[in-house]
Amino acid sequence: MATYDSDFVYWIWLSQINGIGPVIGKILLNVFKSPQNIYKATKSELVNIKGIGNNTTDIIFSSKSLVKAEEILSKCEKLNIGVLTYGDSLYPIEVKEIKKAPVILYYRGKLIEDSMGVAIVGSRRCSEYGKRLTVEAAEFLAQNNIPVISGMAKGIDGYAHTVCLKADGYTIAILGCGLDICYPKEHIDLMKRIIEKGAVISEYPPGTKPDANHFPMRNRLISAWCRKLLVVEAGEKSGALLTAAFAKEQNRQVIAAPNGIYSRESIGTNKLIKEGAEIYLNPSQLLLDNMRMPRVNHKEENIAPIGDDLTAPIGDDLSILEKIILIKIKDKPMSLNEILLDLKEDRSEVLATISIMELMGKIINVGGIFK
Amino acid sequence: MAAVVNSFALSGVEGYVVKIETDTIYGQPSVSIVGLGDASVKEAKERLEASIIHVKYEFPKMKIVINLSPGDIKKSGSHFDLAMAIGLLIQSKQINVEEIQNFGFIGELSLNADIRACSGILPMAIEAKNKGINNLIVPKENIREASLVQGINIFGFEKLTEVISFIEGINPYTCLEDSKCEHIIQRPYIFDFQDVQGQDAIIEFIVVAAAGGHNLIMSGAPGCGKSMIAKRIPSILPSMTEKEALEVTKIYSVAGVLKNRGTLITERPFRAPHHNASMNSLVGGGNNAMPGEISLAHNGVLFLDEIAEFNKKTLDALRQPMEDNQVTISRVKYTNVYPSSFMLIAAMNPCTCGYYGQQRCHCSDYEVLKYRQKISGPMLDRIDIQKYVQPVDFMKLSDNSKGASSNELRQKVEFARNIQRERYKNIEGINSNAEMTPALIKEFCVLEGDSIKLLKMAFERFKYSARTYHKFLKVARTFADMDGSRNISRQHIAKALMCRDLDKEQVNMVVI
Repeated sequence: MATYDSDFVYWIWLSQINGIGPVIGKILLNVFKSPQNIYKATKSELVNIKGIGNNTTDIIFSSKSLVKAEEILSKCEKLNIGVLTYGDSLYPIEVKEIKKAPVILYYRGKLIEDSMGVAIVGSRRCSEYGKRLTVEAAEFLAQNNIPVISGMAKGIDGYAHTVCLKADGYTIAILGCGLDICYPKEHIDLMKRIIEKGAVISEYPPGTKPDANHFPMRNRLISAWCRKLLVVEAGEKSGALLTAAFAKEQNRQVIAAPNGIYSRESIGTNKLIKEGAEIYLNPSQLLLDNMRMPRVNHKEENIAPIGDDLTAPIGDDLSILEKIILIKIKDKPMSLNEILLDLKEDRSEVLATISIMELMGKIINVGGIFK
Repeated sequence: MAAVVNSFALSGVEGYVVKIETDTIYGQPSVSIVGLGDASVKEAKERLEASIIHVKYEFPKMKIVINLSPGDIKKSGSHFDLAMAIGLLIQSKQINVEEIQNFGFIGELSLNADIRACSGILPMAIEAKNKGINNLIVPKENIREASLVQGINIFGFEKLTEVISFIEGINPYTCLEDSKCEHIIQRPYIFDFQDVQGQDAIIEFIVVAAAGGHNLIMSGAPGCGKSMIAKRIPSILPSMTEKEALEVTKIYSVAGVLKNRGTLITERPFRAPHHNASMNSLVGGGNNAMPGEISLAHNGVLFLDEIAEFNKKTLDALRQPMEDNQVTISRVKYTNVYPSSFMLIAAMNPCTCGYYGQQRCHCSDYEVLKYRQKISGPMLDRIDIQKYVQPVDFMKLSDNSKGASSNELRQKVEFARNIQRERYKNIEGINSNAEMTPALIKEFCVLEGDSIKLLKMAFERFKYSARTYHKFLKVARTFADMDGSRNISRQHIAKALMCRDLDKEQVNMVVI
């Protein structure tokens, strides 16, 4: 249950003044300490502050109505949306250090003490490769108790949150709309679960519809809220590139997943690598500096994680037929038809063998193609 | 006393005798037809008058009453014309027929007194035989259809005059053409599995589906050959018995879609309704509660291409007929029951874009699941086998020999079906493995320890639902039958485990 202080209304008032952005807001806060004092300040007090001119003073004085702020606050109370002010200790210091960090944030769910984590971003229309990489990375982060930060968009973002939740990790989704709105709609269940186990955060008051102008600001907040940023797949003009650019500006480490140079989904990430981003080769790169002991992936051996055996040498515990099949599909995934055509062995024998191999996790079947 | 002449009407796919009573009463000249006939029956009076005058008989200038008995069942159709004309001529004493009760008449009259073809002849002829009406007079065009019924005399005529002179005993019946139809159930299938190349994997499972009567869904990218395969499935089903062929022909006769009137349908039907089909066109209904696609597919294959595009309600309406193998269509005054025992073959794309699993597919897991959920759970529940169909690599095709022919495959199917027939011969209503009840599964699908272990592993790995368990057992039973094996071996179970491609995939989907 969110609790509401009496001065929240002044915080909201401050954040809602047209023309007063986070930068001026913070100058004012430095002088007056609380937004209530700003509200009560006289004209002469305001004009004398360095960086505040006549214009700004006029703007503040012409918008002294608290009606809108009260409206927003009552909406927050109704929807159980929490208000995180710049003065709050749960507002990570690292985020506050960013010049344009908003004076207040809205959140749903629970915020933990150290919520700074690793952000995973990427394109909405991702490939199988991007999905696999995201699943692996997010699972690893969850197992090492590192919060996964992302934007709850379709594709990579959604996978990152989902996997993290499934692995009992902590995750934060930063949205570009009010917290009473689920965008994209298909993530309504995901949003519910994030609120249960993690938090959704937005700088926009409830009722704000998603808007193209909001997303760059959201991306800035995502990059601010992380210590490392993993860009999985980004097309030429992907928003993930913008996030990466912000991250650089904010001194966060950018890690980019490499891919083939002809892959459309990865033009952006490959470019990031060229420009000096760290190249992502395995999840341990995502560990934060203050913790060097990764928790090893303790998965039962008999149910191998997807694709693990692709790189593993072909073991000795296999039958001849199994070996033949593995060798055949090692270089190039094949459909059941192709396997049947290639092998001269008894057909039902081959079918039964493939079935059992799939069961053991020695091969996997995606859309009918065995890998 | 009124003249009584026999004719027939249809209720569902069954015919029943309609006694046509004709009376002439002194009074204002008029014709009234009673007995709940629809417009096509009532209009008969105009045809009657014109044709009777055309053949130079007198149309009585009296009050004419024609009653179609039983009078409380709605009747429809123009095939009562001939019987009414004969009845009227007898009643007005213009012709004299001995033993009229041994004749039955079916036919529509033209204004020129020609006799026109009608639909539904076959069930009417069957009813004539059942009721001991030994002489059946039908339109000439329908004679072959009627003579599918043996043991009664079928006479086909083109003109009313011919009928009159025949029943009066003036002219004997001359059989102009060979009216005997072919009773050999030949297989004129034009589609053969030999034409399908490089799809050996799916064909294995098609054969199993055919052998055990399992319903099957194919999932695959556009153009990978799903429809091509489906079209060939009837060619590997066992030949229809004469009883089955008659059932099918009856339904087609009632629906009025019997091609080249009069030959027995010997091919198993293959129906492929488009996905915008309405519920009535699928399950039956409409004005006269006619049979729908599921009845037209009786004893054959119903192919629902793009099943995910069908209206959800329409699809769900198939559930009950699939369970009962028949469909009941109720109207206020009557109910029609049509048989609908078909093998369901469905095809769909794996996702919205159609290319799931390939490089070009960028659908998110949520979208893929959403697309698949368009088919309701209970519907999927009735489909035992889910298989992927892969597009074929053309370069590989050229150097490959032809696949197995439909003939070879059918032999495998018939072999397994024979075993099943033997197994279920004492069990009412069960003919194939797919129809087994849980109790029967327990009796006939006993597993060895090794196989149980395998099954357990599969359930742990792929998180199948409990319902799937029975499906695996049923399909494994069919695999065993195809091998002629009494016991279900580990290999049979392993192969059966390969027939839930769509379910399997859901484990790897990343969704909340």
